[in-house]
Amino acid sequence: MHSQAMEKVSGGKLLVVKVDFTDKMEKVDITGDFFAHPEESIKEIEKKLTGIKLDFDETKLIKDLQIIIDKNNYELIGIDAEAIVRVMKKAINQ
Amino acid sequence: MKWRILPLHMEHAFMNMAIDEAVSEAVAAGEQPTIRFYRWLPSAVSIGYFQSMDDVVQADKCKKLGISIVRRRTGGGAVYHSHDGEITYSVIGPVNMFPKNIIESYKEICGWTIKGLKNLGIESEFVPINDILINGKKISGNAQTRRNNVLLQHGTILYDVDVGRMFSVLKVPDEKIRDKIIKSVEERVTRVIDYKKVTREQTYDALLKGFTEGKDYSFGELTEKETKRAREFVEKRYSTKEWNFMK
Repeated sequence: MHSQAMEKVSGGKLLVVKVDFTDKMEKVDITGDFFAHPEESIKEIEKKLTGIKLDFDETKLIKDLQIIIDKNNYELIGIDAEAIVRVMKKAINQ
Repeated sequence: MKWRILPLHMEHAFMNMAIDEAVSEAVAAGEQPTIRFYRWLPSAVSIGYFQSMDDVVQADKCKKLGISIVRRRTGGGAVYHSHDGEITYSVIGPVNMFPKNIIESYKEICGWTIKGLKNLGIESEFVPINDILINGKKISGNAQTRRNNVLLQHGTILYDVDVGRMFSVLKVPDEKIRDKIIKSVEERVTRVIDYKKVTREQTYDALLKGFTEGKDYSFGELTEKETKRAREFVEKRYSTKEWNFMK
């Protein structure tokens, strides 16, 4: 199934998450007018989200993404791990 | 460190983005930090690195109107670059010349545009993340990337843009403006000529002064190597469907 959801992150930027899913995430595409340094960080986050089961634990997933962000010194501007997971969840539930 | 200034010049959208990359590459190899001013021939729409071309640009309409489309290396939103109504700048230098904090570095470089506008008698302010506003309306959008220890920030200064046309080629999602309590997206932007009856040349002169004040600089041009690399970047990246429709 394909779906997408968007959100203007409060005090931030527009975030659109597009997903293809079965019982797990087959493809995750994070788009929008935000900034990420380095730009490749978004690909890493998409990679982390691909393959996870649909009944994921939101809190744990946010924590996992935050670990990747912190470990690699990624800087997301206008979006954050919480928003990515929230919008992805919204896309799945639509 | 002495800056190289590349005075106002005009290029195709692909070449404009390719020059930024070629100069960034040169700066990474130890060449001079550079400030360039440029216009777009023909008018163009540039989109942010993470945006989906199909989601934000009316590509068919652009084609019909002869407007180029290109994906930037920087994040941020879609921008309509009017051939006549806009001046664009790029600042390219080693990251250690700028504040480490990204918002602070936007503030510093945007401060040069603010000084330029002040030279015209126009008061503006930096509003994080990346905008310059006059009375709450956007006159300048800016975007930054940092790669290979080089900071590239480019931004636009709206001089006399046809705002109606600007939004006719962009798809603006309602979500984005919902929290701005403004009826129309057209009311969110403003232009130099709305505040001062000055020519584009006067606007450029004022900006040039704002960007160079207090700096050691000289006027220069692209090196042969940069020009060659820029042409390569046009061919292998900025003119390709793979790049522009990547998302």
